[in-house]
Order: sequence, then structure tokens, then C-alpha cells
Amino acid sequence: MRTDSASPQLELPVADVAEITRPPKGLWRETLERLLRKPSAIVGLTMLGILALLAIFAPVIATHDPLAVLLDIPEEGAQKRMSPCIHLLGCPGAGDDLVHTTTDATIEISALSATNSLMLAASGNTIEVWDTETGDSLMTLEHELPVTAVSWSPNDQKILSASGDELFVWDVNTRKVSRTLPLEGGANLVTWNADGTRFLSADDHNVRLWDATLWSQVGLIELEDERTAAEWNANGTLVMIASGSSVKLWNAFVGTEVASLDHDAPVISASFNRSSNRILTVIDNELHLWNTASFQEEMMIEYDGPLANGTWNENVSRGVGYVMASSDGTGLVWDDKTGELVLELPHGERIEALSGSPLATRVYTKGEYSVRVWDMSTGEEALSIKLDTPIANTSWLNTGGSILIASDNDLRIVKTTDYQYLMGVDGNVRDQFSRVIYGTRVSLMVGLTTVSLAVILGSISGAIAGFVGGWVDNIIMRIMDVMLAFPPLILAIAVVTVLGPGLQNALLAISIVFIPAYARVARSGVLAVKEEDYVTADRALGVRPVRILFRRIMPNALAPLIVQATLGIGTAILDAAALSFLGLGAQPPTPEWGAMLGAERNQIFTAPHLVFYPGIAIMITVLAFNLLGDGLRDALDPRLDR
Amino acid sequence: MVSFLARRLTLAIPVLLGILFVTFALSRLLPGDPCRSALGEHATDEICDAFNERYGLNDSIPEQFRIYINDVLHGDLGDSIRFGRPVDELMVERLPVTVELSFYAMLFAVLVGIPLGMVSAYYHNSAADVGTMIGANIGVSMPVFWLGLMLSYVFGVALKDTPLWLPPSGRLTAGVSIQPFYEAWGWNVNPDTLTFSGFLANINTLNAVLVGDWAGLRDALKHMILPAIALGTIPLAIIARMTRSSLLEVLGMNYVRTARAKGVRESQVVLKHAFRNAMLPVVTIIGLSLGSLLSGAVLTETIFGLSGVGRILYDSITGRDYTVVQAFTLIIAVIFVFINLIVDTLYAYLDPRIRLE
Repeated sequence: MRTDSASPQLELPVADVAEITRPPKGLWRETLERLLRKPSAIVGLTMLGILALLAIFAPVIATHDPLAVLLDIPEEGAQKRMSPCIHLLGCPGAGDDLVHTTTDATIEISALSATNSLMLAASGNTIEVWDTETGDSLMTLEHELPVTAVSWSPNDQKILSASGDELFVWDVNTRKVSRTLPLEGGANLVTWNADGTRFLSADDHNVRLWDATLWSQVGLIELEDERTAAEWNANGTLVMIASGSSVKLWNAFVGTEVASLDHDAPVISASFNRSSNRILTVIDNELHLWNTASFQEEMMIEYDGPLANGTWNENVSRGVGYVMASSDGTGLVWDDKTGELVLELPHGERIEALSGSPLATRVYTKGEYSVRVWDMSTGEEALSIKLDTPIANTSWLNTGGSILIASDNDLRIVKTTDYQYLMGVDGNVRDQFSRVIYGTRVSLMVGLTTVSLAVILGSISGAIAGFVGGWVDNIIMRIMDVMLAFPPLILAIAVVTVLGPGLQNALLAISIVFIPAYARVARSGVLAVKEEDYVTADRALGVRPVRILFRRIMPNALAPLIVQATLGIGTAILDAAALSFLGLGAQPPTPEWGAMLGAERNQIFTAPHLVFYPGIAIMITVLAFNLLGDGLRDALDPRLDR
Repeated sequence: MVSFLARRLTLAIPVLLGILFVTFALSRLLPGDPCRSALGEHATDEICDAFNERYGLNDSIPEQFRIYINDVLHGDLGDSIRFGRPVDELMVERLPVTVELSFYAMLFAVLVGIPLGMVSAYYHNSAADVGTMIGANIGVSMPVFWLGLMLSYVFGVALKDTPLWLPPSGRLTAGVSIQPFYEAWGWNVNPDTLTFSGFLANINTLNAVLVGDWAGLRDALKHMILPAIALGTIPLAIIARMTRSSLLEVLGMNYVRTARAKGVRESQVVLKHAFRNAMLPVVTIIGLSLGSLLSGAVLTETIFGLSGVGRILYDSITGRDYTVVQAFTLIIAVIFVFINLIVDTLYAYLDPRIRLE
């Protein structure tokens, strides 16, 4: 096709010129056919087709709204994020043990530390402590007499245990007793206050208040009737003690009575709500809600059966509050503002305890041999666990995704739900899978727009430089040289910083950075055909230069531009992801892969799957464009055909 | 040859001036007030006036540019606004980190990439070839930051307590320090001033070799492995592809057939006759990759907690530290221009067919 064009030969026969005016009509089809013979191009095109389908049908494919915070199961989200469980390798489902440990004797007491990173079980004379993540046994604390009560300090650093007529304070770091305090009559309950400065110990008729800095007893409260409850308020200044038919509040510093809430019948249970501004008490078939500022009764709820196990189930940030109690084999839930009965949970076996999850989305009810988990929004049973041995006690882990169950010699953490997220849930409790799917839209858009912009600007400036030549060429190409002298990402960072962070500005910055590459290609393409005979003929015929450039020259310089552009899309996507990773590109909550990676990068050691999937997605997209680009290059340049 | 060099150097001058202009313009265009950015809540109007006076920020823009060019030509890169230290001191501190990282990344890329490309070309269309090329395609498509994070997870966490464990961040284990070689050799160097020995001593592995601190060398190398792999993977893939296609072309040439026909041993044909000629484009690609390494360095240094050039550039762009941005982009661009110049010259020198116009 190319003639040996040393100088324009104006005396050429007309037919010869006409023959090479335009590429033959079949060129595009021929190129396409050649392209489809390249395996890499086929793979690339297929991948791109799938990605395009993913982008178009993202709302159908995604299982969740990519921006929605999954408030119905946030606890589950926290659990998934922290456990490095990559779903494809199989994650435990509802009812599966996350951790299972055994002791030598029957467990009487079990407790999770305040941060939930440690758990302990007291059996016979010993207390054993495990890591809740791995189930590794960390220490065994031996006593001479049976352990009757145990409590974690709020900072996980100390364990307080009562055994015989003594209180032991264990240091978790040294695994030794740091203090022994004499305790007349022993204790069947010990609890720390919220800031760890005080604790109380109680037997059936005496409650002692202790100072945890001076390690001395600061108060003794003697009860006439047997104690049914003893609890600290949220800031550790008051102690609530229920005995007989009254609930009394005591000053924790001096041990004097502050108020007494009197009932007509013996109090069965009493408890503070989470912020300690209300108290729930249970007598016979009545629930009483008291205000702890005015010490007045706010509400009374009646039920047509005997009640027990009164407890709160609330989450202030979600604006939900319930009170719960059990009546024999039925769990009952009332709204704590209206007193309306919301749910009846048919557990069956007589309920010994019930408790709401930390975010009040679920409730478990515990009988002697079974635990059932209920969904708060529907009242339906989510999980039922039946054991052959009596269950000593149960408690929610503060992630809410699992329950600690102590039964006989076994201590286990059981997963409570079966919610499956293909790629886990990110730090803001959003479905990672849906975000990755929606990310396809952003990345394809980023790749196509940046490269289109860069190709348009670059090829125009390159074409003008090549076509006009002379000083115009010199100036344009020196500017391009200067731009090429900066590492692309650093130039892009600088431009984005000038323009301000954001996806649009990042696109613009990347386009600007890529202009020189296309300008060079366009220029060399123009230079190659500029002296061809048909151009010379056009000039001789007086065709306007602009028309010559865009109708005669550019189409011939297009092939290398297309190859360069296809290969450039991959790089553009990578650079845009890098900018977003650094926080300069897409801003939250846009589901952009680079930004998703950047947001979870500090979770790499605990939840690598959150980093893994967006990265793989970037790689697949870039790979698709690169394969197509390689195929195109081979197809458009037959010389490389082998 | 001399005229070629002279021509290339003259061509580089307008580019260098352009770079000076761009670095200056970019740093002035950065939104935000450097004074308030540097001093935070301590910045009052009076303090900021004094601050602007001190750093010459009250002068007109052309005047600032004139002073800037003058300073740069006199080798004075100014003081960092944020650190309150001369920029060249920072450079002695930060540049070696990136130089060391880039060196090992390139070493990894070359040592692995060239043999892979050779095997791939020699056993053309074999399983090894297809596998290598698929690997290379994946390699160029991988985000550096993702690779870095995954490497630090796999080697830093998943393989913990195995002999394969590698430190996921930092340059040296906390507590380990290598004595600067000039101290060990009893040189009288003031560590606070800009020195070439300071620069060399900051290249940990080199310094450890000079001092003979083998434990320190081991530690420094261990810390370098993951960042070097992360940064070197893209050049590796590019080099492997380039070596393959270049060697493939050369192996099909007549003189190779002639050599074989003469009965030259196959290893000689490949390694001596073909390989040397096939290396020409590879050399170019290696040179060009050095520039892209600096881009990758921003990300690699961020992930592996290395305080090198990339990291300080990112920090000072976002922190509006004009002088540091100017000085470091300038130095990077200049290095880049000269690497290209060297590659061009080398190429012309290696390939006699290229006429040195």
C-alpha cells in the first residue's frame, strides 16, 4: 500500500492516486476477523463482556444496596469483618461452634471479659482463661477451695474471684494472685463497677463494697431478706440491691441508703437499663418501671401469668427499647415506652434466662437444656440449640453474632446466624459483594472517560503538531516532553491536589497525564502519512487543511491510536484506583475499588478478604483491557503475525 | 558520539526549564495556605505575616519564580516549611530509601524477568511459554498497592512462626541500627550537614556491607524483600514480555540459522549470538521502567511504612509544603530526564545500526 514516497510526483497517473485515496471498505471487517483469531483478544473481549453485563445489571446481581448500612444485622457485620474467614473456603453457619473448649470438671460460672477478647470458666477449684478468637488456653488459676464467684475487671487486666472466706485479685498479665482479701462468710456474687475503681461482694444477706485502689472494704450493707439482685449503675456511683419486697439504691462511696422503691410483694428480679436512668422490677405477674432520677414509678405492666427474669433490651443509637420477662416457657417482650406487648416467644421449656443482643436485634431464651435465638423484628426463631447436659449459663458476645454457652465440661462459642455475605461485610457494615459489583460501573466509566478525553486532546494536539510542523510542532512536543518527565502518578497526585480531591478531578488529572502518550502516537501517525501521494493530491486540489487532516490523514493514523488507547484504559483504571486508594479520588461512600481497598487497608491483618476482592476485581478489569489491547495490536499490525 | 550527546543535552535544556516552571507553578497552585497548614492552630495573622515574609511568600509570583530559579541554579533548594529543615538534608535522608528500594525492585525484575523471557522464547508456544505470558499479563494488570498489602498479609501474618516469615513494614527491626560507615571508619563527618557519605550511609544494605555488619545486612535485606517484590512485579512482567518477543525475533534471523548450521553449540547460539542482540530493546525498557518505579514507590512506601521520596512527596503535596514538593519533583524529573538520556545514548552505542544524527 505504501509507495516509495521520496518527493511528490505530480505527474503520476490519476488512476494511481485514486486507488490509494481510501482504505478498502473491507478493512474493518478484516481487522475484526483477524482479531477474533487471537485467543488473547477473545478472552479479553469475553471478560469485558461479562464486566459490562455486571455493570449494567448491577442492581439485579447485587444482593444489597451498596451504600446501605446493614442495620438489621450490624452485629453480624462486625463478626464477619473481624474474622479472616474467606467465604469460598467455607465459613461456619448458624449453630456451628466457632470455639469449643473443655474443662476437667463441670463448669459453674463462665464470663466474657469486657472487651470479649478473653473468656473464663470456673469449675471446682480452678478458673481457666481462654482466648475467645482462637480458643487457646491462656492460664489456669488454682484455688484451694471451690470458686463461688468470679468477675472480670472492666479493663480485662484483673480477675476477681471468691473462694472460701477470701477474695482473690488475679493479675491477668502475670497470671498470679496480686492480692488476697479476707471475706467473712464468703460470697456468691462479685462484680466490678464500670470504671474498675470499686467492686462489691455479696452473700445472701450481706453486700460489701470495696475500694479497688486502696483494696479495703468501704461499706457493709446488711439485708433482712434474702438478696435477689445486686447491680452497679452505669457510672459506678450507685448500687441497686433488691431483697424482700423492696429495691434499694445505695451510695457506693459511703454505703448509705439513697432511695427505696417499695413493692407490694417480694421482688423477683430487678435491673438497671443501660444508661441507669430506669429500673425494671418484677413482682408476681407485674412489671414495674422506675425512674432513677425521681425514684417514682413510671409504668406498670400486667400479664396474665407469673413473671420472672425481668430484663432490658434496648439500643439507644437505633432508638429501640424493650423490656422482657419470661412466664414459665414463654418469653415476653414489651415496648418500654408504651407498655404494649410486642412479642411472645414460645420457647417451650421453662425459661431460666433471656437476653437481648447488644444492638437489640435479637433475643435468646435459655431453658435448662436448650437455647433459642429469636429475631426481634419478626419474632421468628432464628436458631435452636439443644444439649444433652444442663446449661450453666449463656451470654452474648458483644459482636452479637455468637453466644457463649457453658454446659457440663464444655465451653463453646456458637454462631447464631446464617447470614451469608459472599465477600463479607466492610467496616461500615455494608455488603462487600454488592460494592464490588457496583464498583464495576465506576471503574469501566473511569477507564473509558479518562482515555477518551486523553485520546481526544492528545490526538488533536499531536495531529496539529505533526501536520503543521515547524515551531508549532516544537512547542507542543516540548510541552509533552516536560509532562513526560514526571512520573505519571506523581503528576496526577499534584494535579488532583490543585483541583481538589474527588472522582471527577481524578479523572481529569489522569487524562491530563496521559495526553502526551497519545499526542506522540498521533503525531508519528500523521508524519508517516503526511507525505503520501493522496495527501499531496488533496493539497494540490486546494482541499482545506483541516479537512485534509481529519478526513485523509487521521483515519490512517487511527490504528496505533486505538491500540494505545485500549492498552491505556488498563493503566488509567490502575492509576485512578491508586489515587482513590490514597484518598484523592473517589470519595466515600462511592463504591470504587481503590477507595474500598484504601478504607480497609488497616484491616489487612484481621480481615484480608476485604482487601482481597476489590484488588482482584481491579486486576481482572485491567487484564481484560490489556488482553484486548494485545490482540488489537497484533490484528492491526500484520507484521507481528506469527 | 560527542555531537549526539551534545545535541541530546541541548534538547534537554528546554525540558529542564519546563520542569522548573511546572514544579514552581504546581506548588503555587496548590490550594490552601502554607502557613496555616504548617502551624495549625498556632497561626495568627501576625505570625503568618512573619512566616510569609521569612519564606518569601509575600513577593510577587514572577519575583518568586526568579528567586526560585536563581536559588536552584546555585544549588539552594530552600527550607522545608513543615520540617523547618533544609530540603537537601531531607533529600539525604529520603532519597537513599527510594534508591535502595528501586535498586532491589529492579534487580528482582531483571534477575527473574530476563530468564523467564528467555525460557519463554526458546520454548515458544510450550506450556512454559503460555504460563509465563499469562503470568506476565496478570503481573502488569496488578495494582501495586494491592500486591503489597497481600504480600504483607501472606508473609507477615499467615506465615508467622514459619521460617518464611518476613517483616511487613519498616526498614529495620526496632532496636537494630547499623553504624554509619563513616563513623566506623573514623571519618570526621558532621552528620547534620549534607554529605555524600550521609547519603551512602542511609542506604542500609550498602552501609552494612561497608561496615561488615552481617546481622544488620540480613535484617535490612529481610525488610527489603517484600517491598522490592511488590514494586518489581510490573517491571518484571514487562521485561519478561520484552525479552521474549525480542529474543523470538532474533532467533528467527538468518545469522542464528547460520550459526546453528556451522555446528555451534545450542547454548552458545542462544546465549552468545542471539541473546546479546536481543537485549537491546530490553535495556531500553529497563531504563524506561525506572521512571515508573518512582510512581510505584509512592504506593509501595505508603504500604510498607518506608519514609522515602514517594512518601514525602505525597505528604508534602497534601501538607502544602511548597519547597519540598518543588525540590523533590524537580529532582525526580531531572533524574528521569537523565535516565532517558543515558538509555538513548546506551542504545545508540550498543546498536551500530542507529546512526547518531
